[in-house]
Amino acid sequence: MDFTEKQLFKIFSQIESPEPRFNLTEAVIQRIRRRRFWLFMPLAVSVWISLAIFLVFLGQQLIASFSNSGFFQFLSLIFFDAEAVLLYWQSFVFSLLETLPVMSILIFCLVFLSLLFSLKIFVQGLKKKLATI
Amino acid sequence: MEDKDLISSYLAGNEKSFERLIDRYTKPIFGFIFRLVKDLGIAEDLTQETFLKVWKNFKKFNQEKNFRTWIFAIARNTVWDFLRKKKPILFAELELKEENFLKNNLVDEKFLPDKIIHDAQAIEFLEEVLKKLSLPQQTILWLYFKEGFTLREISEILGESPNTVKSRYQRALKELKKFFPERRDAP
Repeated sequence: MDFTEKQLFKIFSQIESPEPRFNLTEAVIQRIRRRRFWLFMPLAVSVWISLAIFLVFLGQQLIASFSNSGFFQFLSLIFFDAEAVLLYWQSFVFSLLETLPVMSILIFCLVFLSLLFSLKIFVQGLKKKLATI
Repeated sequence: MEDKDLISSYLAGNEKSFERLIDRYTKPIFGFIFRLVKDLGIAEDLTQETFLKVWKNFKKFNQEKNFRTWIFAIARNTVWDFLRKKKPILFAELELKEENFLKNNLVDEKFLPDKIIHDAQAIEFLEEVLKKLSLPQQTILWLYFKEGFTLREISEILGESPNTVKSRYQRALKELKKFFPERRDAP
């Protein structure tokens, strides 16, 4: 490096750039947060709507399962032959359980709880994001 | 904490690490962009735009490479894109300016080396001289002398071959030397 380069290093080191008119670092962080929020929002909403539609479908399936399983026929015995039900209550309970569409109920509950849980997270996230914007 | 550690930490899910990276690079990136666009408001916008691009493309960043070089390359692309959109004709002329610059500028002999280093006027003078150089030349000089990048790193930032950068640098230096004559030996 010759003398001129040394000089230039010194002179350049003395050149000061002007300061931005506001806290640029904070502005950048806020802008990224806003962008992240708007990227997250439609995705979260569409996932939630899809889950809700799926839940309606599962609800219909659940009702059909109950109808086809004979569960309601057994259950109606309580009103038509309460004495027999009381007398053979163990067999009655067992029959009810046997005809219960367990899998449909489980899937429905799982999706329903997921929906509630995701709604909770979504609302919490939304509050947090709105607080930082 | 070094850049590499902050990057790893961010990729592991620590948002604060990215904010620290932003904080670390805001000033140099803003200074670099301002040097090229010479407008405070535009420089502020483009700095934000640069960091947004960094954030969007963060996962594409090759961690074996230098983060500082990468972020300056993004800043440079952001400025180039802006200038292309803003002033397409002027941008095309920037390269021509490189050829014609010294034909129209005379050497100012009153600035002698010792004076240059200490005299605040010299800084102003250098700024004026820099403005007359082409944008690629200004960029190279700024990155080399102010930011301390090597010519190889500058070639990565500009997306040009090291030979092109080297020849541009030498040409820019030659032009600057005419304004800043070398020290004569003391009598």
